[in-house]
Amino acid sequence: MNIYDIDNVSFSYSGKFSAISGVSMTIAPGEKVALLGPNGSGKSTLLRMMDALVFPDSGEISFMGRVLIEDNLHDEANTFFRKNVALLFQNPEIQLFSPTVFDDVLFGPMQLGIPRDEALHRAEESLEKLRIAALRDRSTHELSIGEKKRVAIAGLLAIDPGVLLLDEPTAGLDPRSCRDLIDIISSAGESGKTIITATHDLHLADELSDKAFVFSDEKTIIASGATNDVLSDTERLREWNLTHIHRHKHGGRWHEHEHKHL
Amino acid sequence: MNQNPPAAFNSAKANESLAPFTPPDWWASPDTEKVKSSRAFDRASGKTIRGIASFMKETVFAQNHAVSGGLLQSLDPRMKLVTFFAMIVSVSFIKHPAHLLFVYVLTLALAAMSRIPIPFFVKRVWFFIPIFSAVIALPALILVPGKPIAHLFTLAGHDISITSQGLDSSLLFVLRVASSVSLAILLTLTTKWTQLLQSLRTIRVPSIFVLILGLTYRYIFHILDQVLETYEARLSRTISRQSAAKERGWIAGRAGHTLIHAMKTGDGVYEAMASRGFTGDPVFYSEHVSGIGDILFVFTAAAVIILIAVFGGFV
Repeated sequence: MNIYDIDNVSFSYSGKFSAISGVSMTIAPGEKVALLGPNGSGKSTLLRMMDALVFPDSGEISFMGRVLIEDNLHDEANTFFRKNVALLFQNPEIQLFSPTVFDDVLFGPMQLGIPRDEALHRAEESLEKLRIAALRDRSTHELSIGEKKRVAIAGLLAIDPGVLLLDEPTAGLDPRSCRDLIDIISSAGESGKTIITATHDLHLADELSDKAFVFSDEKTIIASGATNDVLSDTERLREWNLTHIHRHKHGGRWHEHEHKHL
Repeated sequence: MNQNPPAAFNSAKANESLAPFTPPDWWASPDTEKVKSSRAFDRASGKTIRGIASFMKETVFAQNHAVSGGLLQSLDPRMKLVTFFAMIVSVSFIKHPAHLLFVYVLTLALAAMSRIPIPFFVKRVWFFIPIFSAVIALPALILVPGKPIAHLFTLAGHDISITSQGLDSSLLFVLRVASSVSLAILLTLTTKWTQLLQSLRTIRVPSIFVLILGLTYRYIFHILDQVLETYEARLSRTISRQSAAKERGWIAGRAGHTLIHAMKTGDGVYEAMASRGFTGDPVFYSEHVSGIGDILFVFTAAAVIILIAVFGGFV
């Protein structure tokens, strides 16, 4: 059974501004998938739909064979879904709403009815694994953006979901924090989790996915396939606004090459 | 590899949407005309915005006293919350100024034992007093009937005077407010906000109320920073005096924008909460354990309250 079956899904904001148009895809358990596309191409909206935070105007999204509509997400069904799917928001400011780091990491397990001792164990271990145990009692608003991202991921891992939805996970991070975060996500992927990453950074897609879907400015999928195949088609990447010619200077000499992240 | 800036940078190889940027001619000829600089905006709106921001940060977010290791900081926040709440309630029943003065002096002693600088504490308390008490205390001086002690003026044939009873009432009221505010400020200065919120949960304050309080605390800081950034962004581009009407218009527009931003943030936060299983009834965890010191503090506070009551303080 597929994790997600997405069939011809469309969505618009206020009935006027199209955010997703006729998108279809299937995602199998354990797959690592990249949603590629320029800003405003509908990647984030699709992730929010996959997390059942917004629902399609037309078409259908099914999670493990069950259609995601509001009526299907009450009580145990909602708990089951939330235990299995977790979304990393692009803006950690929104995701970290609790007063302290520990409160925030513990929030998911506590809401999802995980027994108290188990929830505490998971929260402590998530902080340890992400090397942020020292931040345990800090206020969330005091953290750097890199620390906020780590805390946000710790909060998701404490839920131990089978599916991780990541919205521009490395946006705004310095190179070292970026590298650390990729390693963390990769190791989560190695443990068998399904990882779906929305990004316009092709290096990130290369590291975190085996399969890629390319979104266009028309909010629809214009290409899909193995990530290696998609990323090796440089002509089309340029057509899709995913690469550009980058020039820079080394020792007084100018270089130019394809740039695969924005 | 090229020695010179590559022609290809401007060639068809580059994406159409990322076409090379050509600086406009006027970039090369800066305007040298003298403009009379004015910091009128900075003086008026700027002072207000910075003042509010700095006051909020100092009063709401400063936590240095909450971790300074004094008497009150060492207590279980739940015990402290319950005790201080009981004392504030008791204060509102005391009818003699001397007893109120005793409570006020007690708060000063507690502040000293909790390593809070007394001048700072007194200043903090008396900043709030006029706000809370002036509206009631000042009219009471002349409105409470009694023996006149100072004639002020004559209005439509009536002598308007401060009365002895009016002065007593006002004094009693101001002392009540001072004692209550001192207790409240002492509690918030010596307790981390996060611990206060946890304590509210454990004394069965409805969890949705605690959640909203926590979110408010969390996002005031965020929104405050945004307001300051917006103000600085405008300041960096303001070189001439703006009319008062324009300034008012700008401030009103920014206030509206901040409200919309706050609403959008609220929507996002709700989604983030729902995504992690929140369904409207939050579940929290508390990790405080009370010790002997906490119990002793509660008993001492209870004894003080009873003593005041026994010796005729209460109504």
